[in-house]
Amino acid sequence: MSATGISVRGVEMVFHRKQESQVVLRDVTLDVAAGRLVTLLGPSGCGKSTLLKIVGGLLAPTSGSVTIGGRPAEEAVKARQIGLVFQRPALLPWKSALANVSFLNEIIGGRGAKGAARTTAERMLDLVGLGDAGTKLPEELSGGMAQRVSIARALALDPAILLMDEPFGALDAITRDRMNSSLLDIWSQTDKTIVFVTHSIAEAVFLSDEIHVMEANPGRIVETLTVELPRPRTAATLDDPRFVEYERHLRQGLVGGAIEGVTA
Amino acid sequence: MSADTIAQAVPTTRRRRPWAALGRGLGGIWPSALLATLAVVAWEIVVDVFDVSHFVIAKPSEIAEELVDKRELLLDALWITTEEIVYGFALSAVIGVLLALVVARFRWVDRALYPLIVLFQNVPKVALAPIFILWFGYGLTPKLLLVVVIAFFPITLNMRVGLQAVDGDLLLLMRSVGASRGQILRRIQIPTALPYLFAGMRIAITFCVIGAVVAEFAGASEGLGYLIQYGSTQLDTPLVFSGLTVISILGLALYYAMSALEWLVARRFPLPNAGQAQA
Repeated sequence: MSATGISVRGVEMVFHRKQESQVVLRDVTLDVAAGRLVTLLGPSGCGKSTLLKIVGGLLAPTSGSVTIGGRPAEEAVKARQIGLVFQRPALLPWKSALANVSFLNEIIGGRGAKGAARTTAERMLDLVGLGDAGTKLPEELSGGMAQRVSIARALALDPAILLMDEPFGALDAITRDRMNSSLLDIWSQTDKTIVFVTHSIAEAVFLSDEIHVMEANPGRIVETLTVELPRPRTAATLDDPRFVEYERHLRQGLVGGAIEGVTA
Repeated sequence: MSADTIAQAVPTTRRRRPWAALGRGLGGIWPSALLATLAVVAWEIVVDVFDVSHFVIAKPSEIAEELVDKRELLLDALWITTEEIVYGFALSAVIGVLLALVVARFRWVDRALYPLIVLFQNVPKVALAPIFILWFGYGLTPKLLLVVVIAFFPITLNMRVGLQAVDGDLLLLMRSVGASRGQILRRIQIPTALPYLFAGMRIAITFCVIGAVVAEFAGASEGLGYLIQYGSTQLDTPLVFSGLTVISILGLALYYAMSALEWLVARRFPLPNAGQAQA
């Protein structure tokens, strides 16, 4: 399967609560080229998770459009081109890691698909480095391992696009760094387009080809930054002066701007 | 029995070390057993020392004697009451689970029916016993009816909570692959709800015992409830107490049978941190 790009055009999202209406997203336009890794970076409440759901066809925008590989997002969902990873692993606690990974393919393919689904699942567990943990139950896995299982589950659907909503946000800093490296490793072995939501500046710089910086009230994209750090990215990348410069620039925009806003 | 009685029964759900857990459970019994033994001994002594009339209270030794002497009478009655409880419980479970499934599946049924079910909980159902006797006579039917009316609610309530306790992200995932509502119910909601269901059933089984005894009080010609009432009209206090003893043991046995069943199911569907039971 060739990689598939995403095009978001003039997306507005308004939530109505009682008499009040809240603009969650205003005029969001962005393009994600096929096969790239793009992050949505911003503080809580800037609508980045909502935008991710809209891109994934799980939520219909108030206005505007999303196309995936030239087709409407809802069609991409029906064609099962979307893989989802959430902040929490959301595994079935009564199923083994392997069964959790193959579960969705078993739903899609019905009874006859079980064998093929299990084979795919084994391959995906290998890919995320859990080849020998297939029989373990979720409660026996660490947070990082459980999240690897949920990534394997998303990849097992062989989607063109992987949507990740703060997938490492609940992990400790060390595990998080390891997971970031692993993710890049996994990504380089596939041809997925990844949209990654985070509120960690360092994580965004380390992972991304492109960063869309978002602000709240109303949720909007305030800056798009292309990260021109060489790949593969490793621990050495963190010491690259350009990495430090990107980080400083983003921090100033997100944190510094807010401080100026308060004192002005 | 009312809607605001909260019975605490956290589903037990460990999978890997179940025998150890069971061992701890049994090991934990001995302080209670010691206390109960002391209470029985004290009871015997107090009744003896203060020479309380045996019309008022029976001594443990008298009860034990009665249990042996009237064992056939008691066993017959035990059989009748057990039948009422077990059939009544089975009916309650079927009705309770079906109701929860319907309520979970159809939002409008939930909106229309659920408030009425909760309202109905506030009717003192024990007071319905004479009406059921009036309608259905002295047979098994009015007993089953009273048992069901008392016991289905904790099952429905807990099952409904369990069906709704499903991880929202999992639902999104299921929808993202086009799973049907039936698939979501079968593959995710029902397994998630099982520990809740069993917590509800553990409460229901004790309610069933109450329902059966009360129904027998209201009108019966056999059973432990009948025997207790008969004994009290005859001033046969040892018979009353031995009936009470048998029914208590029955209640305990049924409760632990439920717990054992729950434990077996929890081994198959481990669910850490499942919710607390409500009744």
